[in-house]
Amino acid sequence: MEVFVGLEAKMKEWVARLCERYHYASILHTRRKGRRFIVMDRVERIGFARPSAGFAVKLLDDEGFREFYLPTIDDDALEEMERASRGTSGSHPWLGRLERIMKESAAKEKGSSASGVHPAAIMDPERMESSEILERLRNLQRACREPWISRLDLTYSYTVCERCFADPYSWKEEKALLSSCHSMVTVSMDGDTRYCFHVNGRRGGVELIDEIEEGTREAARTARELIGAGPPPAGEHRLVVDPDVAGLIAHEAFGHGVELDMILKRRSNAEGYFGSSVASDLVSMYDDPTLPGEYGSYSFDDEGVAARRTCIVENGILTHGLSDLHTALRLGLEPDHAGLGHGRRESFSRKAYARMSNTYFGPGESSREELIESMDEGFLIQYASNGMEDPRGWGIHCEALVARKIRNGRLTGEIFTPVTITGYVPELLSSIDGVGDDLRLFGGGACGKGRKEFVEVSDGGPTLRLKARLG
Amino acid sequence: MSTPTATLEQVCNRLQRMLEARRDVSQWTFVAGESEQHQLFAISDTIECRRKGTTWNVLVRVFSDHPDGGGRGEASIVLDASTMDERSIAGVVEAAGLVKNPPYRLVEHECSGIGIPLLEEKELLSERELEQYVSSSVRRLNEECREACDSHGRAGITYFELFRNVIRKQFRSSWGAEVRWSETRYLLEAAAVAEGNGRAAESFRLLESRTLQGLALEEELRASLTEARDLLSASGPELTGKLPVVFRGAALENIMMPLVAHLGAEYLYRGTARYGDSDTIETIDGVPGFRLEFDNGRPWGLHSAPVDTEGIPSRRHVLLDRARIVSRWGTSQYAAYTGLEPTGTPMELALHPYEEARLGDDSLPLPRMEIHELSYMGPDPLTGDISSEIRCAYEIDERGRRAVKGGIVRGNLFSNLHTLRFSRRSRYAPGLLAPEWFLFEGMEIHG
Repeated sequence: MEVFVGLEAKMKEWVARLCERYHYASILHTRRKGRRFIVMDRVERIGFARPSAGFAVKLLDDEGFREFYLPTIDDDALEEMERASRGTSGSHPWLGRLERIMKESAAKEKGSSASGVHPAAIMDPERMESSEILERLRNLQRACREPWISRLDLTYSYTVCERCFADPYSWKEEKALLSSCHSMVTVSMDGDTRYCFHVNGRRGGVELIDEIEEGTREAARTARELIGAGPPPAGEHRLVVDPDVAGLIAHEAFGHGVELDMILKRRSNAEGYFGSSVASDLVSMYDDPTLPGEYGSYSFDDEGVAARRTCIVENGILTHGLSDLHTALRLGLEPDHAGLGHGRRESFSRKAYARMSNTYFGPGESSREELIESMDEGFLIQYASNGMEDPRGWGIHCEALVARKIRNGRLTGEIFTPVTITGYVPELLSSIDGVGDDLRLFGGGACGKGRKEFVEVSDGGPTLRLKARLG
Repeated sequence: MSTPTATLEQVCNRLQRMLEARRDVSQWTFVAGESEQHQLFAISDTIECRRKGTTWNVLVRVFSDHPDGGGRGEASIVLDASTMDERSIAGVVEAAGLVKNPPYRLVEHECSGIGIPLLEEKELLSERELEQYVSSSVRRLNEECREACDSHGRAGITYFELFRNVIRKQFRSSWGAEVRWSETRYLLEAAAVAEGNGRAAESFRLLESRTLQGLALEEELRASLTEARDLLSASGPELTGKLPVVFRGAALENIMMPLVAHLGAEYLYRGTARYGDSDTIETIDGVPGFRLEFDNGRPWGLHSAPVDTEGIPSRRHVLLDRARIVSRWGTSQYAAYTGLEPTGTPMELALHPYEEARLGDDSLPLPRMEIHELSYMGPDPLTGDISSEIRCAYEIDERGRRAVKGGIVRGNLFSNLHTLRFSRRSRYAPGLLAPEWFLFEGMEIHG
């Protein structure tokens, strides 16, 4: 790759030098750059994304893992890293498995292609003038403007993320272009103010701006409908949830619930449930960083391990969790474990943790209309907004903007906001008795581990029918 | 760790020369920061990974005025070692030229002589000493737990992460203002887990402070262990419906955000301010019994700085005094558009209750729900709606005190402002100096 010319030889040389003082050495180099364009009413902004260019050096000595991060590597830095070694007198218990994992990963990488995961953008923002991008947003704002809209804010942002990795067994590199475009519509009427939004994010370029027009119009209509709305009646209800809400449930449930580093920290309840039923047999759930063009896709993780699709739940049975390298070594996972390849960093200056990529429910056979028509009484939940994990207690907390009343298989026109879905994860997943055929993924958001360490992810699913508590 | 090839001073001098050479820039500011960080990751009390490193970056804002009153252009960029060049500056200046916002100017404050304490005063512990300090604290707590292990089961701190960041910063502007300061930041993340009788429960802490002592590490983790043990026997709420609800600790995070947003110039300019341009909130939300203010120059404040990115010196601003809107906050842009004094964005809030709104701990009503932690505390800034799952709470009535996990608290901040009552004692949490607890009369609990 052109951007890494000259770096490959250097990084390999640094790895070889560090391996003289350490059991194992790897170097990840990342560069991120991008721009953000915001068009509001009468006010506009252009900002450049916070760059993040630097190296994360991962080393194993007798004491365990040690990492250094720095913007550039020179002789002084290498000498300091060498001095910091606590020795390699014995053979570290993790070393054999570490070597097997990285060799297996190097072999996998030879057969894969980063360009398959990151298809080229139709309209590359790096090759476009800022004025052209800004004008597209202005045009979209004009097109969606209605006299009853109080505020219509549009944002387009993109990040170019270039990464390369070297260890004694491989050299890997990839370049990804992530774009997200979102609209926020506010309506003030009759002394009440409400809003709604539309988000679109994936690997791609400026073409995303054109794709959000219909979603923005729909958000505007919904914001107007929400005037005067209050929260739905609290209690357990039958629900049909839109694919974006299904995605949020997947993410917060077995998503975070199966990040295996949480088992090391005794913060996950999943440990005793692999091989057990945790959901209705209609439910299958996956995390797949190899999906082409999705917001959370990559060909290798931030520890150099090849990306792979992980089946988390298969026909209701919990099968695999998601693992970073350190966790894999501590838990004794074999190199062919389906959950490897999920070690991700917020940036080169942060540690890698077990993280999600693109997390989703597998599709079923029902149409969305069938799922709604089959419900005597319940709610259709739309516009997922926020969630929080509880892997230890297997609780779930998902917020959405809209609940629409369903009675006798039809939407009654009654609308409620805000909506909070809560429950006990296995109960909620076991209650799923209808799975749609309309699988969709939604990107553009970032996922934190606890309350920090944000990485780009997508989530999704088909329309689901289930039972849960509403607030 | 080896530092970048240029010192922070050299970076700032070079950047200043590049910006001064641009004739198409009307005003500029930048804030440069160089950070040296040490990160520890432990399972139980054993360190399993150590990380250290140095980074630097500069947030640059440029403003250009279009001729003939054609409006103001502006853009920002963050530069680091990979982007610190003329090409990046040309790019951000060009971007500013594309934006035509209604005209305004940054007020050109002198900013001289501003200083607030943000750097840990005593000598910093060495990396090994810091490791030993935190590991031995966690070990001691876990040993206490093992000794206290009883029929309720065992409990312990199962992991922690400690970050120490020493940051040197500089602000410079096109009008010659220069401010230099240094700061420390500590972050501790940890979980206490209790297990027994086939159940498990956790209590999570994310602590941040300018000083190691300020983390109150042992006190906080001990409280976390108590909560985890209590949660082993927790169930959903028995008390439901409308009842007095007390918010404490982490549950208070962001709670005043909607009120602050509606007292800002941006909402006023954009026509979504709840109180319009009125000088009182009484007609809509009644008379609250407190004063709300902010001071981004609060000594040791986690979000404090002597000056913001627009060169506005930090000082105290009273926003609300009972029902009277004393002042509104605003960035330079929205303050200019609404004819207000630019104050910067409130980063360090303070809420001071008046005597009529204070209650002693022994005067709290029965029955009541006391919420310590919610799954997510993010009241909607526009509507003031609160709706969140209860992660850790206690319901208290004539029968006693029971731990609660699950269920939902919901209500609206604005419609409760005039019912709010507060503890007599106050405490500092990052960004908020406020009473230890807030009592809401009109919240609902649902099982």
